[in-house]
Amino acid sequence: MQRAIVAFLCLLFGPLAATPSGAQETPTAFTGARILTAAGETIENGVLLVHEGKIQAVGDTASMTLPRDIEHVDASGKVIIPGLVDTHSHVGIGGRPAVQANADVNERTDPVTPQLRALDAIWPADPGIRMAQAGGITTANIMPGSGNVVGGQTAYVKMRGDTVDDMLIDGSLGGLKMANGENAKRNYGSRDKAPMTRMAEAALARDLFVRAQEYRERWQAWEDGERQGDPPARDLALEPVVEVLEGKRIVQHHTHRADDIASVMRLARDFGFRVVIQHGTEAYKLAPELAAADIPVSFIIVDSIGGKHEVMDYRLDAARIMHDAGVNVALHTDDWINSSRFLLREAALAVRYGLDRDEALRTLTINAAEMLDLADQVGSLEPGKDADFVVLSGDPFSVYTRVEQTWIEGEKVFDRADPEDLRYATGGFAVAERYPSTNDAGEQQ
Amino acid sequence: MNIRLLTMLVLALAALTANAQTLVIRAGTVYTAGPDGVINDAVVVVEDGKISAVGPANRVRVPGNATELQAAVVTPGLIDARTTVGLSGAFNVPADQDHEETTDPNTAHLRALDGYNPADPLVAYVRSLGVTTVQASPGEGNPVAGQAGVFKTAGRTVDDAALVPVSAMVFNLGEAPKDAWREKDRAPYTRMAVAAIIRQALDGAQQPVPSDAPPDLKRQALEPVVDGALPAIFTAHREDDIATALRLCREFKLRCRIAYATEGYLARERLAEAGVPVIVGPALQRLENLQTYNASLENAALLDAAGIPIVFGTHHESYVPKNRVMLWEIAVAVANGLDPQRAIRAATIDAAKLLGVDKRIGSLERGKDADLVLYDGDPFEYTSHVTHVIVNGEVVSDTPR
Repeated sequence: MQRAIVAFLCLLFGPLAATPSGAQETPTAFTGARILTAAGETIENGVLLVHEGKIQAVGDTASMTLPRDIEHVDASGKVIIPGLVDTHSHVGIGGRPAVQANADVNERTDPVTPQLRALDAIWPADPGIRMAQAGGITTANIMPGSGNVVGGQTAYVKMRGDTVDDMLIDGSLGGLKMANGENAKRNYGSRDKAPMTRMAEAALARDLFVRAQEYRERWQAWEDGERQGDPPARDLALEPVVEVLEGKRIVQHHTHRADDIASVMRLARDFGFRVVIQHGTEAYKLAPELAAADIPVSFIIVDSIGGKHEVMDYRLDAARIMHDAGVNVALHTDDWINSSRFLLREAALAVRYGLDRDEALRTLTINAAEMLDLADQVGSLEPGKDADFVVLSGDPFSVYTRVEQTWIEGEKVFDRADPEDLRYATGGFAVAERYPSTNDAGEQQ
Repeated sequence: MNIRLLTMLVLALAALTANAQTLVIRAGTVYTAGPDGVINDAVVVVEDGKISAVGPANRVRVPGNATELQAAVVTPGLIDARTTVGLSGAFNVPADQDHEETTDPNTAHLRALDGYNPADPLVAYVRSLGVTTVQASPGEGNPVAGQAGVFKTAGRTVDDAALVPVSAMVFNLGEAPKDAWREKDRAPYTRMAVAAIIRQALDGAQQPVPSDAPPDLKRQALEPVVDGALPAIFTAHREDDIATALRLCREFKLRCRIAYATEGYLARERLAEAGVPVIVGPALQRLENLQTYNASLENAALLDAAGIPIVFGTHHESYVPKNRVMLWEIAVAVANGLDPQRAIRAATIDAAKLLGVDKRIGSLERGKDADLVLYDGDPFEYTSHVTHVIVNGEVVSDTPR
């Protein structure tokens, strides 16, 4: 009897709900879609089964047996891809509008600030987060800026939640943001402070790592001495660097020119730490060396050359060159440099300039997840992973394709059919009723 | 006649015509932007730097000895109706930044002509993606910024490239002039002062000049503006700045154009009523300042639907990327409601008419300059390419981009 009531209620409420916004309790099957899992072949007519925030199953419609008593969402004609992973974003700390009050990206008072944590500055109500949802981004690495040689601890977050605690990914440590090249030396050199030259940038970095090594040795000695006597004094700046030395925290290093990239590789080799090259404008010139050293590159598609000397040799086909040489390549927004609404566009332009389409999707998903040590949890549509996915109106690499829905852990966070969400996709979210509405005939008023 | 002289004459004539190759372009679709409209299975013939024929393949006589090119789609060369490219150089260091003369808030006498660098890497870059003509403009920091000029993106010197050496007077409202001058502790700090400085300059140009007055290049530069002979472009993002621009244009009877009109979709009725053309901002305009906070991807489509004449401009980028790609900006506008054929006309013939150069460029019609762009697919699709760019009948770019 109870089952019949439940079934009746499902029948009653199922078809009335356009799409359930949460799939937490009842398993939900998204059916009839073209599914790009980023973990193998494309599924032309597929089913994605989601339950309690995880992917339960994904596969070909013909070969999937679905349980009874589940919700169905007809996704025929749509394309489903994994939620996008942005390895380099300043959303939340570079809030919109970009006034001083919202500018928390660059602590220009000291070039070495590993003690700073992006999580202490993230503003969950930044419209940029909803704009990122509108672009299909579900996971991001929110980082301090490149104005410092060591900017601070980054935050690996899901793009949802009212508090930063809701956003932070459980168990993740975040990275350590570092930078070399023009930005730091312009930032400080222009004020007659160190660093003025690349020499000083590298010296500041080496000095930090040596001090961290010594700090670690002091603590190790105290541990080895069975904790006799007072422990060494804590140093909040050195602790995250020790985590880097111990392989627990990845250095996310902003760098452009080939010699600056080589400096990063040297530092990583000398002190033995894991690093992701961020931007890597000239990384294509060092692709074989980067591949041999197993150093991944998170690249950015910018629309033109120029802006500063260190990016003058920028090439739009660099992602293809690096991939062909065996480098693990991701693509990121560096929001606000590029808008989080247009991360898919970056991969499309990479395809324009020669990158294989399947690989292009991986640059936004599984490759990026690997660079954040999150590949077990996100980055592809596989059973057991978080139910982070995006429903597209068509080919991910077409200018005409819309992000229709974005889901994080089985909850819908963006729906283009919702008039409020739509304004985060088009712009005009602060304009409310003054935004021209479309009448029934689809004509603008 | 002396045989030697004759030989020299023949050689001289050959040298003159050496660069004028004959091109035959076969295309799946040609958007002429002219009275012939859209032609499928078309042929365009280029001779001596001009379009000599355009029409269906089975109706156009194709000369022999021509270089043949194939394309899926052909459009006229794209016209960027307001940009600092050529003045704001690629390296972004003081040595190559020549768009911003913030030493005086009124620099009406400055001419883009005197700062435009045809050899800047960004000129070749935008050309490779289909822009064959630009209206190069002073920057956005001065309320009265100076004189724009219309240049082709080919030509070794600006004099070779210039179509209209002085094409418009540029005025700037909104946050940019306030930011530029507040940091120098000089007026303008407020929008009131920005407008006052502009009014003072325009008013001065309307006053009779005493016969013993020393020459005043700034006033001389503004005289054709208040006479209505030289167009006036006003940078305005926010709705109230658009209103200020319209008010100033009415007061001084200017030939008004609005640059960006980021909140134009909110002011569309007033803009339509005023009949003022808009050089829209890039669709990918960042939502960053208070004045761009309400930028919409649909702005171009909404303005067009309201009957406002629109053309496209990439305007100015201060950092990375150092310039926007007009074709890619238009693509996003088309994907957000702007009719594609309308978009092509806005980027070509409508811009040519607005800049007063439509006798020479803007459409693929017999006798006009051979400025064309060849594509291997839908020009607006992310994964299509510009395969060739032709200016004055010469292939200036043939790497697929």
